[in-house]
Amino acid sequence: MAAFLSILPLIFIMIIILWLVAVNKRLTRKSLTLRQSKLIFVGYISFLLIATVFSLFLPSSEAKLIKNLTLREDMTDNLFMKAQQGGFSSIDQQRISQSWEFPYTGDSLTLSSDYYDEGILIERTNELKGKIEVYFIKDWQALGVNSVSMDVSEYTPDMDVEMTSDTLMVVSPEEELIIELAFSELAFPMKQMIGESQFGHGYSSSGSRFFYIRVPQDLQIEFSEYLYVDYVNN
Amino acid sequence: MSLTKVSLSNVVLKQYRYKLKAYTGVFMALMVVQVIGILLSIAGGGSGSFSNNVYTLDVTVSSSSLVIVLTMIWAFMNAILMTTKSYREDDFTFVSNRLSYNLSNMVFLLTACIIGAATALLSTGVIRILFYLIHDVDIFLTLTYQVAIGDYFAGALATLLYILLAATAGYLVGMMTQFNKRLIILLPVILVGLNYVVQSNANPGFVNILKFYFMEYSFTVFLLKAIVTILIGSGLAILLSNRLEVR
Amino acid sequence: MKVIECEGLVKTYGSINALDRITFSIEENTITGLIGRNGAGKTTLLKVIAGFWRETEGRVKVFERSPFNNLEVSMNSIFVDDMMSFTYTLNLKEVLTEAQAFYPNWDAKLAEGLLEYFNFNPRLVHQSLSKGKRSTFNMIVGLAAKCPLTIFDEPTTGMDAAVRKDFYRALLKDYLFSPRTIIISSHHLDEMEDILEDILLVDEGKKVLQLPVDEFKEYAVTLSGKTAIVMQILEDKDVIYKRNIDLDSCSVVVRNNFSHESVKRLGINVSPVTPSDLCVYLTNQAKGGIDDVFNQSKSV
Repeated sequence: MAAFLSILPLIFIMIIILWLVAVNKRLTRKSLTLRQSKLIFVGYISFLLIATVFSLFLPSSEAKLIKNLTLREDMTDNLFMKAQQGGFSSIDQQRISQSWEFPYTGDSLTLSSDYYDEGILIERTNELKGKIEVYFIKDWQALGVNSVSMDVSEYTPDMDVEMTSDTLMVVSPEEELIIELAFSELAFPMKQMIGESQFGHGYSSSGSRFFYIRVPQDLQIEFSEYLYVDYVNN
Repeated sequence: MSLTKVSLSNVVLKQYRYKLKAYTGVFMALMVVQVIGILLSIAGGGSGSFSNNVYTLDVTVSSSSLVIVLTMIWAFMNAILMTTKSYREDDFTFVSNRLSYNLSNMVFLLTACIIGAATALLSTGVIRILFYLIHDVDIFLTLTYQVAIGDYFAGALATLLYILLAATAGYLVGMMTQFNKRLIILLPVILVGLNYVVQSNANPGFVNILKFYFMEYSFTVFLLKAIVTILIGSGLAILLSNRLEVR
Repeated sequence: MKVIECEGLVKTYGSINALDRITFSIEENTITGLIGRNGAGKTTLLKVIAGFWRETEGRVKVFERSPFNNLEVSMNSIFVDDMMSFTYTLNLKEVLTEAQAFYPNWDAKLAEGLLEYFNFNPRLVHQSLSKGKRSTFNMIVGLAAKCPLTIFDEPTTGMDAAVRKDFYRALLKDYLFSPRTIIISSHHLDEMEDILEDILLVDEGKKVLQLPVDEFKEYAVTLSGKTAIVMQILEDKDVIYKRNIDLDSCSVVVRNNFSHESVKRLGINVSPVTPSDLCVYLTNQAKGGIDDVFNQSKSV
C-alpha cells in the first residue's frame, strides 16, 4: 500500500504526459504513417523479446528464501554461544566456510586484524601439538526486502588469515567491499494470484560470524584491545 | 439500385480492421508509456542492505509492477479518448451504427489491452538487464516460488484483467461524459456513495473498492469479479451511447 | 418507390425548432436540390435522414426504415460534407481502399480516375489538404461509394469555379450511368439547376415548396410597369415579393397562375424569375430587403 501511495504523484505526472502524447492528435498527425508506426512497434516488441532472452543469461543463482523464521531450528541457536560452551564439534559442517592449518612452535601468538571486528573464539586444547587450526564460521544472514526474506550468507565475502612469524593476521578481502545483489519480484497481479502477500516487511537479521582458533593448551595469546576475543569454557 | 443487406458482425469486423490501421497512435502511446515505466522501474521497487566493517551487502528489487500500473493508466486514458467526438467522427464517416461502433471499439480495446499486457509482462527482461547494468549487480537471485506453470498463466490473465478493468472504467467514464458533461461531477459522488454502501464498520471508505479486486487471492473469484465488472461496464456504456448523436 | 418519407418531422435544440413539422417525400432515383438560407435546417434535416441525429417528433423513414441507429440505412447511404474525417495514419489512396471494404457498390476505377483527374497526390494525408481539395476528395468518396442514397451537404465548399463545374458534370454523368437517389444541399442553385430534377425549398425548419425544376422555373413571374397599373392588377394575384423601384414604376414577383396576355395588354412587362432569385424571394421573412435596414437607420 505504501508503495502505491508513493507512486501516486508519479501517476499524476504520467496522466499529464499521456494527455500530451495521446489527446493532442495534432502532435502525431503528420509525423507517422501506418507503416512507420507498425515498424516502430514491431521493433519495440522484438527488443522486449530479445531482452527477455538475454536476461536469462545474466549471472544468477537461486535465492535461499526464508519462509518462516521460527520454523528453522538452526536459526534459533547462536553458534557463537554454542561454540563458547564447548560445542564446536556439534556445529554443522556447512557453517564452517573456511579452515586453515598452520604449524606453530612458538610460545606466544599475536592476533591482529585489518578491519575485521567481529568475534574470535579461542579454544585451548591438548589435542594439538605444534600447530594451530583456524576456522571461519559463517552463519545465516537474513535480509528482508519488501515481503521477501532470504539468506544471503553465501554471497558474503570469505576472509583470509596470514601467518607471519608469531602473528596471525586476519585479512579482509578488500577495502569497503560492496556486494550488489538483486532479484526480480513478480508483478503484483502475479503475486496476488499465487496468494503471495503484496505487503508486509521482510525480516533482516544475522547469525554469528566468527573465527574459531584451536591452539595448543599452553600457548600465550596476545591481541590488541579492539579485537573481540573470547575463550571457550571447558 | 438495390439495397444491400448487412450483418452486424460483418460491419463490426470491418470497423475493427479499420481501427487497427487508424488508431496506431494508441500503440505508439503504449510504447512511450511503457518505456517511461521501464526507465522509472530502474529506481527499484525496494531495497535492503546490510553493512559491517568489512563489506556492504545491497539487495534491490526489480519488478514490472510499475509498468503494469502505467499500462493500466494508458488503457484508461485511451478508452476515454476513443469515446471522444473526433474518434467517433472517423467511425461514422463510413458504415456504422452505435452498436457496431461500440462493439468494434471494445474488440479493438481488447486487442490493445492484450498487446499491452503482453508487452508489460515482457518488460521484466529489459528491466533486469538495465538493472544489471545500472546497479552494477553482481548476482541476480532467482526466487523460486512454489508455483506451477498454471499459476503464471493465472497471473498473466490477472494482469490482462486489471488492464481491461482500467479500459472498461475509462470507456464508461468517457461515454458518461459524452452523454452528459454534467455526469463528471456525479462520478466522485457515485464512487464515494458506493463505498459507503459496501463499507462495513471496520473498513474505512476507499480501501474497500481496492480490496475488492487487489486483495482477492482466489483466482476463480477474481476472474468472476473482473469479468462481471467488465460486462456491466461495457453494457452500461453501450446503453448510454445508444442515444448519442454523431457528426 | 419513395426513398425518403418525412411526416411532421421535428428536431429541437433546447427551445429552438431546427425542423418544424416538415413533411415531404423523395422518390427513388432522383436528384433533389435542398435549398434554403443559412440556418434554415438543411444540415439538420440531412443528418436526421442519414441517421446521425435522432428526430424529436414525427416520423422519418429512409428505405422504409427509421434511419437512426439503423445499420442497413448506414450501409446504403453516404453523407458527404466538409467535416468528413479520415484517419491521419492512412494516405488518400489507402483511405479509398478502406472505403472500398465498407461499401459493396464501390467503384474503384471511378475513384482512381477522379483522384488522378483532380491532381491528387495519393500519398498525401487528408488532413494536410486545402479546404477545396478536401471537399473534392470527399466528393470522390461520395460518388465512388455509389450508395442508393447519396447525400451531399454543401459539397462545393472551398472549391473553385472550375472544380465546381467539373463536380456537377461528374455527378450528372455518374448519375446517368448508375441512377440513384441523390440529395444536394447548396447555396449555388444557379450553378446546379441544370442537373437537378427536383427542388426542395426549406425555411425556418419548414418546407416552403417541393417542385420539379421545370415547374419551379415557371412558378413565378416578375410584373413590372407603372406603379398605379401594377397595383391595380395585384388584387387577384399571389404576391411573393414586392420591389419598389420608385414611385413611378415598380416590379412585383407573383405566382404564375394567370394568363399573361391580359396583363401584357395593360402595358405591364412579364419576365421570368430565375430559380435562385425565386428562392431568395420565397424565403424572405417579410421584413423587406437588406436595403430597409439602411433606410431605417438613415431616417432615425
